Amino acid sequence: MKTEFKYFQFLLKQNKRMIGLYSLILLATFPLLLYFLNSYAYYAFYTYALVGQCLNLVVALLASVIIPLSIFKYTSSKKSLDVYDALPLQKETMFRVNYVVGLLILLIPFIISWLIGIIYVSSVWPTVLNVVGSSSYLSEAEFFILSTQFKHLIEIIVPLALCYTMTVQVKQNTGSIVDAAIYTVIIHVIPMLAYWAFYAYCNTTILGFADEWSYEVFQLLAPLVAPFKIIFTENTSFVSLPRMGYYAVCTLILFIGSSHLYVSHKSERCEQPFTTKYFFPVVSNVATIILLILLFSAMNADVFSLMRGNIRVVYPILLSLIVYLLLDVIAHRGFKNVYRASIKYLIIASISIALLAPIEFTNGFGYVTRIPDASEIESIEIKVPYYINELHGITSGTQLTIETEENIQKIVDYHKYLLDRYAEYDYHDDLVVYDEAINDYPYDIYATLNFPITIKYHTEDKTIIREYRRVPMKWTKALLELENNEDLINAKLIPSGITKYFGNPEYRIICTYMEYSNMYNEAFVLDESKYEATFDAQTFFEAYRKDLENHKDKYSYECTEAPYMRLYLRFEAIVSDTLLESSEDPIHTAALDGRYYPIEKTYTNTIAYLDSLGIKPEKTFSEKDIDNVYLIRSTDANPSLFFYSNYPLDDFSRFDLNIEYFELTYDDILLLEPYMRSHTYYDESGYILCIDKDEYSEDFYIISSEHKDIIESIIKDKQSTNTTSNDFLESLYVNTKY
Amino acid sequence: MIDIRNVSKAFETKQVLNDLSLTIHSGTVLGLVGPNGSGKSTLLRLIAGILHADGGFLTLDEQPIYDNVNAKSKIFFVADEPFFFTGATLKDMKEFYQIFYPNFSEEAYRKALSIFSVSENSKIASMSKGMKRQVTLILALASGTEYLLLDEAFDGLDPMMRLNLKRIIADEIDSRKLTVIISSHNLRELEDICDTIGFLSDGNVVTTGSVDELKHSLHKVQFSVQANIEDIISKLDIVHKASTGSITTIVMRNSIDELKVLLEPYNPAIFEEIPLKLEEIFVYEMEAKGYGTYED
Repeated sequence: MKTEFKYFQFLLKQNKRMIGLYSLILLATFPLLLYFLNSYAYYAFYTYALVGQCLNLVVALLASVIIPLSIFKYTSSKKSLDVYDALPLQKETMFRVNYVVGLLILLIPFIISWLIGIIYVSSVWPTVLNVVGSSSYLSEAEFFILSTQFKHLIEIIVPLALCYTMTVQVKQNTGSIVDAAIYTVIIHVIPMLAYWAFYAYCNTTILGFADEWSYEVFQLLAPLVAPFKIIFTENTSFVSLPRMGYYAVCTLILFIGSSHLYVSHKSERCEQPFTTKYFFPVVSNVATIILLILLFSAMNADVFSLMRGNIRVVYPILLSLIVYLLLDVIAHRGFKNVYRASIKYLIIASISIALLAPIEFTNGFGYVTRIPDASEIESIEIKVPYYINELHGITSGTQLTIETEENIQKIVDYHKYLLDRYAEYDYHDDLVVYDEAINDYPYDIYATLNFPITIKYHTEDKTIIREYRRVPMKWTKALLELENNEDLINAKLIPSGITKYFGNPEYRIICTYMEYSNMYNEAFVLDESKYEATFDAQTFFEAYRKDLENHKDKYSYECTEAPYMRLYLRFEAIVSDTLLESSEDPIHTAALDGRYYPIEKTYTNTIAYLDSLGIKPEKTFSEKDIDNVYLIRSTDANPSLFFYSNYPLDDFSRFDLNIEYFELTYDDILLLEPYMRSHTYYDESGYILCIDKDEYSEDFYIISSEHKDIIESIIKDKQSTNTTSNDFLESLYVNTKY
Repeated sequence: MIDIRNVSKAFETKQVLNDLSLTIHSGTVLGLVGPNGSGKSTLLRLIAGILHADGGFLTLDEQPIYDNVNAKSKIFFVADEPFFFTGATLKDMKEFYQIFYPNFSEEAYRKALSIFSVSENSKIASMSKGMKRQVTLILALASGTEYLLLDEAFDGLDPMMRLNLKRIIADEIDSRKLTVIISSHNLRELEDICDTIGFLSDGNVVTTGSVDELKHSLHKVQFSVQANIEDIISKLDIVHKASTGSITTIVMRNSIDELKVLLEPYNPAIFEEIPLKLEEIFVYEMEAKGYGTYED
């Protein structure tokens, strides 16, 4: 038997107690935990399974530090290293055997524990489903499928091996176990901080920078985080080969580097804090540069926006100098080197500033003012302030996908408009916070607020350009004036969760829940068993689309008719029978999503289809459903609150306005009905009609100031009550909710 | 045979060995003697393949030693500070060394175990310094290597065990031509066991030779004459000189006969040769190198 194999066996035997303890902890934190908790309650079972897997990962990640430090601890003492170095075994072979044994000790118990756990999970899962008593869609269901779990296991093993190899690498550079443990943590943290520093610096320095925080990039930089991201977010059975390849290559590079360091180690340096010349300077310098950038970014952030002048430069330098000197004192076990370290720091800080300054003074090398040509753009995803979509009548989400030529041009023009506005100010300042002059009527209520807008251009050459701006409300009006074409119609039609299944022959879209409400009554829940068979999603969408297309000549926000009703529909994409038979997956619901559909009196096609199913709103006020009806107007000099709806008062925690309100009767509502709009925009302040319904809901309608005469005639004999918007809303919630 | 040619080794800025050359023939028992920091341990660690020489070369039977499995499998190094695994017994350590030394002899192990007073199954951590030293020696003797490097091997051993060790080494030399290199400050021990002694100073070998040669390399003489001593001895290679009244004591490299010829015209009242111990030779050699001299 070869020497290395005998040594391999010896190491396993020598570490048998550690292997036993590690295995026991792994088993206790996942499979045994689940077994003894013995819960078939669905959410509890899912939570326990996730908690168990997380605990297993925490244990394995700790082990990825402890095991290599234990295996290679002999390199920390001259006494032991002399014995090992004198042995007739090549140093490279010695390293490889140690490395492999440590890796196997780390991975094999983990794999066994994980396999037992996932086999138990998937064996109990059908019982859990039975207890739930439904084959209805469960968003976490994919988690329990064995293939998903196998995929998780494969994807977790590689970053775990990388974490282990990182510790091995650090151990080859450090003398003591304590130094190795500390610097292993630092080495894990540095790439995460580097990404954070890059992100923070660009966000706080380059106006409009909007590269989204990428968890994909983050997990590539932080193998420590990768296993958790995999089990929490990646419930598919496809292994990401590029990612695995990346981790494997990193592991291989570190392994080769560690092997080289082991072979060339000098035993006389083994009891010093660092056994190689370059490790500490590289780590401390990189950490300091990152810290410096982070501190510069923090000082540029809004929270420090009132701090002006040199303090923004001096403090990052001072704080990072302190950290640099502390690292140096710890590394050299004393203060002897402090003077030299200070000089080195000055060089590092100068280089950092020299690298960062051009980015700041060239506006991110032109990033700030870059707009792609409209002809090069395929589509635009734009995240708008919440009120923009509300005014467009889009009832879910704050995102719009723009694909038509006209609207692409409008967004590009809008972007240019924003740049022109910003050009009037200093690009480096978060100007809108301070300058009230640009927040004039009718938007002054938001004088101290800015709204986020993210524009993501998808160009023909497949590049993605992102822009992020925080703008005052006044600068958002152009977003209301998009062409009312397919872009907006599509956004109002199919809920985004089921869009990709719509039209796919392998899936059926069915409606599994529906309710409607109108001004007369609170929500009616329709008997789904009655409509499931007859309600045809395709027909509904076609009818609704026709009605929306009939309004193409107006802006989307222009609501010219009184509301007919508001319909809530929940759709499910059902896997077709053929596909179901060929799959082991017992879950036949692929996706689920729902939304509100505002229906105006002019939506004749939709109303006709609903009528054909017998879905007709009752037009009789219900004493049971409605508590009170209020007409509200502002008593402030500049009552900008009332320029749009449909929930104009809802965000009351932000504002507190002076208002007066009048209690109305059912007859008054009937008089006002022709002028009530569910959502629209007026330049001039108007009125709000609030219908306070029984349970947890209030309907708000906006009435234009053009109808002042009829309003005045209704309220002339009524008693007004003065209050503030906050107090008013609170009284509504107290009366209904609590 | 171990051949060391022009070997240099520095730790950081400190030059420990400087162009050192030495040949150690098989079957030799070489004692390395030198003051603290003279490079004895460094030389042993270079021969053991633990350290890599900065310059020069070391070969064992014409093969380089560093990171060479063949060469290293012929060498067992016993460090001045023994190392054992946490909680290990002698048996555990035996299992460890058996992996690496193909000629590890169970018979030799049992024989050494019967001579030394160590229990095979006791935890080494609880043993005294001397017993730990015995453990390493048992393992070293059982390893079956052709070369044994002992760094301060007698340190901590009681007189009985020192005697036993000497006997075992003598037996091994007889039976399998074992080559032993021992570094020690205890020159009396080396005198008994070594056939060759090397004096190290300032990173180089000052003197090397058999014990007998070394013992005859210096002569210590006490004499008394009525004449100017300085004029008489100026022609001699004096290592040490002391005078008490009319009696002069000198340590010289010259032969006794040369001194006798010089003194004969003055008819010395006293002339006596005082035998030198190895330890005294070491001290005089070191004094001659200016090491540890103390001027009153």
